Amino acid sequence: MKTAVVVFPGSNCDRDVQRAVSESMKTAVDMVWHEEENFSGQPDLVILPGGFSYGDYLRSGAMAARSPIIKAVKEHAARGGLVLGICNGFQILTETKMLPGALLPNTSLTFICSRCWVRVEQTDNKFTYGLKKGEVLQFPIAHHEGLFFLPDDDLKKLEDAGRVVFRYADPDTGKAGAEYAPNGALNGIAGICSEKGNILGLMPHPERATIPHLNGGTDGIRFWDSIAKAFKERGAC
Amino acid sequence: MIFQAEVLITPREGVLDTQGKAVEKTLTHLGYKGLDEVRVGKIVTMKLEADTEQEAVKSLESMCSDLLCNDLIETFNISVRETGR
Repeated sequence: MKTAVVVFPGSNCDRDVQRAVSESMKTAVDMVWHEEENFSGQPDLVILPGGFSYGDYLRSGAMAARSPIIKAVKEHAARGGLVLGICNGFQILTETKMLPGALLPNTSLTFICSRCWVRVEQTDNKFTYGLKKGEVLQFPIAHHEGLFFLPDDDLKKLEDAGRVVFRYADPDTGKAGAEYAPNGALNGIAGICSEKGNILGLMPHPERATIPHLNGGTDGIRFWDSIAKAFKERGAC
Repeated sequence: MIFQAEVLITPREGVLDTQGKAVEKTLTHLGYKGLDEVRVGKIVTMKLEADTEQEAVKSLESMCSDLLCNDLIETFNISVRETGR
């Protein structure tokens, strides 16, 4: 399985993702500068990492979504290739319209860096295939614009289509929803996928939950293993 | 002709405007009464060259849909004035 991580000016989780993917999934990881117009070779998985691309100027992810490499990312997704956007990467995916919605400033109007828990809402996609529906995982968050927003009608369509993949949850009761969202995300939405399930965007950072002696736990390893399992058993497309 | 342009971008009605809410709350704390629907947006200003005012506006509208404004959450208002030739 070949992975490419796109690096934008201001990305700061690119190396974390590279390490998590290469160690957990035992796969080669290419780092691709955003000014490139093509990927060298054909990756199976393209990751847009977290960070503050272009200093979050104008809107988070707005400028990065217009980078030269994005055309190749869209073509890759149109072929059924996997695209994963984490935090700023999720913001970029909504700005490209590859995923619906927008990420607005947290209701607290503060930057939130903390532990958090998400419930796996569905496993019929290329990312959570190897996880269990309803299980709660600990992935940390670190963002200022994480309030997932969609107008009511579109939000209902997204829910009805079962495209909410992760929802903020209480680790003790397993309950999930808006009341557990640290950022005010509508319906407690932490991650969503595309109609075909090959594009996933999420605000929490699974790559920061992969080192046992750090505080973030190791649930992230299960996430990366899940992608590897899906790829092995179901193929990239 | 050279035009001085101003693009005012504000949150769309119905979109949660946390900044607007916080500003409204603080203004109320300061004693200002009767406030409602306080919204916080942004202004992009620029000089641009175009043959006519109509062309300048058309170009700015295109910039809004290409980058300046996210139509899911924002609306825009354009004003231009000629500043020279």
